Amino acid sequence: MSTINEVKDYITEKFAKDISSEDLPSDIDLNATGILTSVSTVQLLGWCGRTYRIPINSIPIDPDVLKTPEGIAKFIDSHRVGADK
Amino acid sequence: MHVVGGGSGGWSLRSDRILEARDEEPAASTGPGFGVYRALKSPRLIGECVSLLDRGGVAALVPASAADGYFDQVVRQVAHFAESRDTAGDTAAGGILALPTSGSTGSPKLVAIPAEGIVRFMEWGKRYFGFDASTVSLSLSPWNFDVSLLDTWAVLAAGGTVVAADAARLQDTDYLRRLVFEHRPTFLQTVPSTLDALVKAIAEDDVQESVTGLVLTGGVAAQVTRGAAARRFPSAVFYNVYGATEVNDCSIQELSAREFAEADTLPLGEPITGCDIVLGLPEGGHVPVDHAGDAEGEVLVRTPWMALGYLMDGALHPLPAVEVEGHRTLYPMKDRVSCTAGRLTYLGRRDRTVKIRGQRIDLDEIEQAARRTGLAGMACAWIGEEGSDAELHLAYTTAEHAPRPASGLQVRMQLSRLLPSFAMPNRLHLFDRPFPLNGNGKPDLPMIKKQTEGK
Repeated sequence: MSTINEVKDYITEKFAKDISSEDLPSDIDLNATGILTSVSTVQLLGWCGRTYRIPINSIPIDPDVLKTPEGIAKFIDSHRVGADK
Repeated sequence: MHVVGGGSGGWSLRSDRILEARDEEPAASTGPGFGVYRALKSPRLIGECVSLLDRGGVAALVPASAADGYFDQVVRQVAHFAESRDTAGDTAAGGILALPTSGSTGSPKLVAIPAEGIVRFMEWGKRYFGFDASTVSLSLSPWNFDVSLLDTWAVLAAGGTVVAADAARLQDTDYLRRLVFEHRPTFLQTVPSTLDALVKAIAEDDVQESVTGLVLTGGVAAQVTRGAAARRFPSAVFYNVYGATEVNDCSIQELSAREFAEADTLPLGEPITGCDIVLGLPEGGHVPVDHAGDAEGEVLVRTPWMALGYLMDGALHPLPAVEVEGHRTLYPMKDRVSCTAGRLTYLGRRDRTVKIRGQRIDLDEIEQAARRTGLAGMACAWIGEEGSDAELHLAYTTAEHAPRPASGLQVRMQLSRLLPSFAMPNRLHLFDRPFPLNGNGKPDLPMIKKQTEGK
């Protein structure tokens, strides 16, 4: 499964049960639509760290990058262990 | 039958002018000077209440569907009060109608309305709306709800006819349509949920010219619902009425069908004659609405028909009161309004302003925004604790005439154009049926929350 689909699955299962994973647009603003809050963004980052072994405490994180599913997927793909830098 | 008090020498309420009522003895518990009744829409209920008030007794109405435990608690409280009143002799004299303010699951809190206040209110209703023997009122709300003092008591007192719709059958469109077509009502009083039921029951092209007056009270109706009502009742004058059980109606706005349909937000209007409305200003101090100019503040009210207090623990407890210089004590409505040239517009409930993640939000504004999207019929917002986080929930029903229920994604996208991100609901709950209603015909929040749990 591609990273963006995994991200969408996680978000819809955890934070937006009213939306199916397939229906969640890749470019939706997750903050403006109430899907992510400051607290759930921290939870999302924790999930990224655990699932993709991203050292979230030691890399700079731009909150704007985490506003959309595609931004989160790009963030994961560029920082996951074993990713090409 | 007569209700005592008032300068008119009493009013006659003819129960033979009640149609479609159930010819049943309402479940009751009666004793010396009191009666507690389940508010079944039966002519006998009105008869017994009026008779008790006439004799200076206490008549209490509880929702027809109230749990037995709730009913028994009300009986104990009212019996205790009636007894202590008998012996003390100095508590409020005269008949008292006691109506509950909360649903049937909480502790009973009864608002004690004096018979003479009811008479004054009926006099105003008759005069303002022109009730007479030709008036036919379709009573949609339960009779334990204070709105029945206008659409049932005042109409009967004016010699009019009341069509007593069974409040438990309002979602039965065939039933409601039959009542409207068979009896051709001239007057309707609705809360948002009953207005919703009415427009669902009557087809768009079944225009009801007989309706000359439609009162909306008890909350905010979606613009699409108001538009549908205006098309069905084109000959009606529409009224938005504001009040509370404790003070009954205190302000009114008259609107044409077009204004009723098109207004983004319905104004609360101007104080009803004899009602005192004062704004508590945010910077401190108070100003009467007619001298307020352009201002915002909290509403304080005194009406000629306001309650004596609450019947609790077998005693009469005074209403909350605010001392304002130059006025008698006023009842704090806990609502925020804006005032422009003496006209009020509702902004929200003071106790519905909450803080979430460091930001102050108004749950009323969120519900209004949901309705303004045109995707939601009714909307109900609340804060829920999820683990260590607080989340903002929004339950909504499908908008009238929407081809299909709006998805959570559609609602979120539309709402995000109206609300800042910190005020956006986090959890959305679509109801594919009308909201459960409490004993007063308003959305039953505890039940709505319960039905969303575990989804």
